[in-house]
Amino acid sequence: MTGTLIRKEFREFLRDRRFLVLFALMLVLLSAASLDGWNRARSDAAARAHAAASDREIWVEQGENNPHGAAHFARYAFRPTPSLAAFDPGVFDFAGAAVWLEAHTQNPAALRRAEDAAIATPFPTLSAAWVIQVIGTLALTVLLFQAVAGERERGTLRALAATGLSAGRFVAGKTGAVLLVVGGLCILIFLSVLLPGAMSGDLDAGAMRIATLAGTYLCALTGFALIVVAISARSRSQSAAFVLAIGFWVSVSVILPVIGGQLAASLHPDIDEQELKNAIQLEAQSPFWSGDAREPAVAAYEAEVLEEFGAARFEDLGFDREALILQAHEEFANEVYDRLYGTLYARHEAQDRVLRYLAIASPVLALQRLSSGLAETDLTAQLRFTRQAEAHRRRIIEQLNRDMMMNAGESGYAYTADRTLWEQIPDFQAEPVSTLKILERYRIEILALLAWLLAGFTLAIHLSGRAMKQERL
Amino acid sequence: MLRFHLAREFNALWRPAPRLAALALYAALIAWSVADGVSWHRHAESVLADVPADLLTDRSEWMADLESAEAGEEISPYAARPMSLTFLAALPPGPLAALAGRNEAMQPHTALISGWRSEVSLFQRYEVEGPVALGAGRLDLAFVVVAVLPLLVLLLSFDVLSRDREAGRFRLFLIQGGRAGQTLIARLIAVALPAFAIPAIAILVAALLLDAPVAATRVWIAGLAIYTAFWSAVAALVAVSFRQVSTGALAAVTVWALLVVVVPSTVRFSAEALYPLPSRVSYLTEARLAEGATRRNLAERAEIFMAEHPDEADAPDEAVPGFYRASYLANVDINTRTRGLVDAFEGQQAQQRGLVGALQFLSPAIMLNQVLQASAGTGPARSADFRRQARAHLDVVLDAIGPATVGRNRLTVEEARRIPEFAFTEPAIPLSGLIAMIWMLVLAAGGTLLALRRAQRLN
Repeated sequence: MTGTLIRKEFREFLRDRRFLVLFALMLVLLSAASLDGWNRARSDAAARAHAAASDREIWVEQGENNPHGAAHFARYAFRPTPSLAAFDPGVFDFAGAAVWLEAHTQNPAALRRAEDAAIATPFPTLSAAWVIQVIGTLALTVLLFQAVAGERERGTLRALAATGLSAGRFVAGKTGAVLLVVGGLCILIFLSVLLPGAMSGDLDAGAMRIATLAGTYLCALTGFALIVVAISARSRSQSAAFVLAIGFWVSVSVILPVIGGQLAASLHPDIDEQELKNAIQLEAQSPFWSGDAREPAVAAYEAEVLEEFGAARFEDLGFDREALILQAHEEFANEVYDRLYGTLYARHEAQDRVLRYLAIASPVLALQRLSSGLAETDLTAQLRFTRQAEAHRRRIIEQLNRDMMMNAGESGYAYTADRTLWEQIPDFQAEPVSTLKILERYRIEILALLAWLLAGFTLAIHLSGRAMKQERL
Repeated sequence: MLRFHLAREFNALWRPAPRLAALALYAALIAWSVADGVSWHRHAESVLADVPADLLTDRSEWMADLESAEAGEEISPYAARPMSLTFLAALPPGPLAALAGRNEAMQPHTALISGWRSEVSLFQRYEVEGPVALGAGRLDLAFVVVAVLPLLVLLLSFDVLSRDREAGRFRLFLIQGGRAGQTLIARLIAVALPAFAIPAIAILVAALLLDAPVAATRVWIAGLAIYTAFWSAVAALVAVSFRQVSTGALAAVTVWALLVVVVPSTVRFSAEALYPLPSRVSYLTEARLAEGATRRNLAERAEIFMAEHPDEADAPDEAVPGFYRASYLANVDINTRTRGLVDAFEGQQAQQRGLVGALQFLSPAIMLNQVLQASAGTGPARSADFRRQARAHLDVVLDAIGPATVGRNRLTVEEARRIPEFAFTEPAIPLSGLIAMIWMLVLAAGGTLLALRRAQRLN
């Protein structure tokens, strides 16, 4: 009986011209967005790989140079393009692509693709994820708002109730059809993610990650669809169901994400770029170079060196004192940077947290966040990159300073190193993160999605059952 | 008669709690967006006013040092050097930027111009703003008007006739001498008037607070009025075309989704896909390659430069640090090497804008968005103009200080006086905005007339 109901519902979808039009529209938008996403991600990945290779070449080929001069010329750390950015760009375009690893200064990431935008539109440009999250949920709303209300208005619900059909079977029939529609959407997601990946070796996303992503969409879209069915069952008429369902879609898909961003920025205002630069100058540079912080910092680092080399006096080592001072400044400034950038990144994370808790109120926002998390195009992935880049900067600057300290002798800044040293400086390698780690970070969003799914099932069954009972009376 | 209908409809329409709640939410969104916009505008002004003094050259002090040096007096070897001349290029917030600054945080508003800068480093901005909030964008009035106003108008008026027709009241109303056209107009005005008046008041308040020019305010009010009229016409067409409430509702939302969401996003997507921009990462790579090459061959490069400027070849001042010359030449070479990329970048951006300009007539949301941004003094086009003007000014400065810097000399007082300060020239508001507004007005009038004609048939 349930199977018959599912088939009947699905046949009705297929007969409905709106369904076919929406399906065709989704297919066109999804294909276009998917191909463009893949193309953009591939060219972006190629540009970054080329930049990283060029950076090494420029570095190694710089000729003879003083190590500290080289540390000022410095290197760049480029963030690799995550393969799933082709599917869901998340905040990737709003995050810097590279970090300059120069001496004395920790720099935030730079080169954000969103700075290049030549056009402003009310909504973002198409991506496969956005099409499913926003247009896909709109399509589900339009298709399902009359699921129960339509039966009731046409009088067929009474006929169904009269056959003795239980509420559970009725809902299972409706839900089964919904799941078939959602399943179709998820197959599209699979294809939009897998096909481009299969066509390009540069953008290979792990099978586990893709399966998790598709499961997330399946869960979120099913929950959303069931809520619309519940709204339909609760409404006395199709028009009331439509207004309520569209109101729900607008609130959770359009208004809440924008309000969330605004609320996040209002509650945790951004730090001004100039303000940060001033703080760096006043707290990390001036106190050391023209203030009284230099002496204790140099003494502390000198003690470390003496202990390391087992010497009583620095002069006994025959090392260069200027280089010791340079590294002492790094050690001093690093603590300041930990504090200043700690505050900056805490602010970014606080903004992110506002959206995390708002995601409880919106299955679409929860889906957006989890999707970009799995695609590694979220804030967490960006912060991971900037932290890894900074750790790398500290490592290579110390390596350069120590080379000068141990080898410059009396020459000081006139000492030069060559290719041998430049080749010893390691390239930046971003460390990958596991899918489980990502899921751990997004447990609130996962719980929110599961709660919406559960609420959708419960409400759909309960309200549909009530509607059938009312019809029997 | 119309006045009677209007009064009655106002009472009837705004009595239900959900409708009042929707209107209250709309008003709250507008109030929030304007308050936040005004605060952002004031902050942007204060940031420009408070550029730290140590970042800029005190021109009068610098000139006094230069005059002393020219008079043969002893001054510091670092004083009045051409490389220490720094100019501020500032893009002041537009007159109504508070109302349409959704993506302004991404755009540069200042640049320090000096011999230490290349075009690459001129606008290098760091990721200091949180990417999450940036990605969501600010909730500005332009967004509320462009996206939320039509939805409010449609949701509150798509069933102005069909709800009576479906309930069987419409026939009775006609028998009693009622006219479908008058009812339609009265009900649409009852919805459109508050939907227009609330943002209009907000615009006037913001204009007063920010002392905005009357012309920009007028454009906003006119654009808002025409846009409201357009969506009221769409609502009227939906109301007279569909007998069933559900079908009308479906049509209304489909039209909104297509014109406000799908078409603008697809147009932007098409422009970006057809005219892709060169990558910023490639730009940086080219710059690094140029800098590396210059630094490796510095002596040879300086010789070539001096051969091109023979007047400065004599009497170099050995007290001038060598890195002045190295940095200057590296920056000149970076600019030369990346010029092709910059031209390609600007060319592609212009193509993207051109395509959107041509396709804007497909969607009133794009048309209004463009007009509001142009008159508010925001948007990527104005920002691109700023970048172009600042780059041109950098070229002027580099040309002026080049021979003296590489020749390890100072400028003459006369040469220094010839270097202008930066002043941003506002771009003209494009004519296409006016055409777009006229086109939208024509569509609104045509839609309303068509709806009225169909309404007459219902009588």
